[in-house]
Amino acid sequence: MILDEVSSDAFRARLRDGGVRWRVGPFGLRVATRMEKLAGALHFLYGDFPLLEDGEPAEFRIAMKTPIGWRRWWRRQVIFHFDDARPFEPFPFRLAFPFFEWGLNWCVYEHAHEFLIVHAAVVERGGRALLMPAVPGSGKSTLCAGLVHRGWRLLSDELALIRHVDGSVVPIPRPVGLKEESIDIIRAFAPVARLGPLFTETRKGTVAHLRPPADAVRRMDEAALPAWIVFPTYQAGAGLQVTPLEKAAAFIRTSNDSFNYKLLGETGFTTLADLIDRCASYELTHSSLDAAIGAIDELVAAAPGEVN
Amino acid sequence: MTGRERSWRVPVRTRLLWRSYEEHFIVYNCASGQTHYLNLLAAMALQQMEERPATIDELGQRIRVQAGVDDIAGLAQLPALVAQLDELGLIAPTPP
Repeated sequence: MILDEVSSDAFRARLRDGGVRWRVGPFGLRVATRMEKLAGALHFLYGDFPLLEDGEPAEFRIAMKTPIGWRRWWRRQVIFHFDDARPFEPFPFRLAFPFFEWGLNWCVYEHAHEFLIVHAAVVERGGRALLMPAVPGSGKSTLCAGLVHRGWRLLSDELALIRHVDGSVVPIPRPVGLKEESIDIIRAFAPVARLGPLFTETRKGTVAHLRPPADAVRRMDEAALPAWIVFPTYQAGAGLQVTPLEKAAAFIRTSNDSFNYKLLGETGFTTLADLIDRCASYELTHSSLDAAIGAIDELVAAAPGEVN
Repeated sequence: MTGRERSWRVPVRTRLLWRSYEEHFIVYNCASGQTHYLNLLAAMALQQMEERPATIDELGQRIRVQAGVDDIAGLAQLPALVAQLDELGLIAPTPP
């Protein structure tokens, strides 16, 4: 059963009464809240995700609560609870959903060390994955959303989970965070894209989230071996430029984009080295989503990745 | 003992993991948890000192033999390179 099959009223009631349990990639969540707008955003943006069945564990138990006290009547806030811990300062009440997403990222990269975790979008086609590690503001999510609407399967917008044992990328196809101009770019680029509510005045400006395609969620147990690493940079007015990247440089850049490479020690080195060995790496600078996607399609056709 | 007479090596307790990518190398120091990006000359020098201790002159000689070439660009910078590898904790002087 998926979240969409639970009525809005029942979903809200279960969130209030002990929490709703659902699965996101390899993780089980239990989410509890009394916040109506947050409930609406969760129900819409995670609508295709399956509820956990009895006996399936919820590794991450999250509650989004409003603080008790007089302050709440003047400046409403929300607190992210992870079991009994409160790992963050409170956030403005109206930003509860972006805060939830941010907190869920933290849950994964702080705890899931069975994976090498790279800050990267990942998409898949033909059984092979393309990683796009990037710093914030590089246009990673816009490019990811664009590719997802041009035949690529979403594996992740934010966290590449690379399994140590075989080097494959395990999908965690959560909502894709878009900000500022990217929101309208994706609306125009893919009119079928389903976007959640707009959140204004966040630290990243106006933010909206793309609901993950149902097919990506249905297939979230299908891992894929990576074949390409592309470091994208959006630069207004720039000409399209695709440059092969030497492997040692790709190694260092990817290690810098990893959340837990250093923590993992020798295991992290081996997993990352294997990733670099099996991937062709490029830098991609562009000022147009269409051109960037065209360039990726071309390089994928020209360099189909190494046979493993 | 002058700088050139001093002998250098990768400390016995230091384990290094290597990956080579054409003329560039990544080396992971299991003792420090640090990852280093080395060019060809630095990698050859470090590998020599991982194998056995060497003074700077011996190192130059062994690199020439390994490469099979007498005039290797950058070999004059070997003292600075050794100092850098020492600074990074990848090598240490051998006890007198």
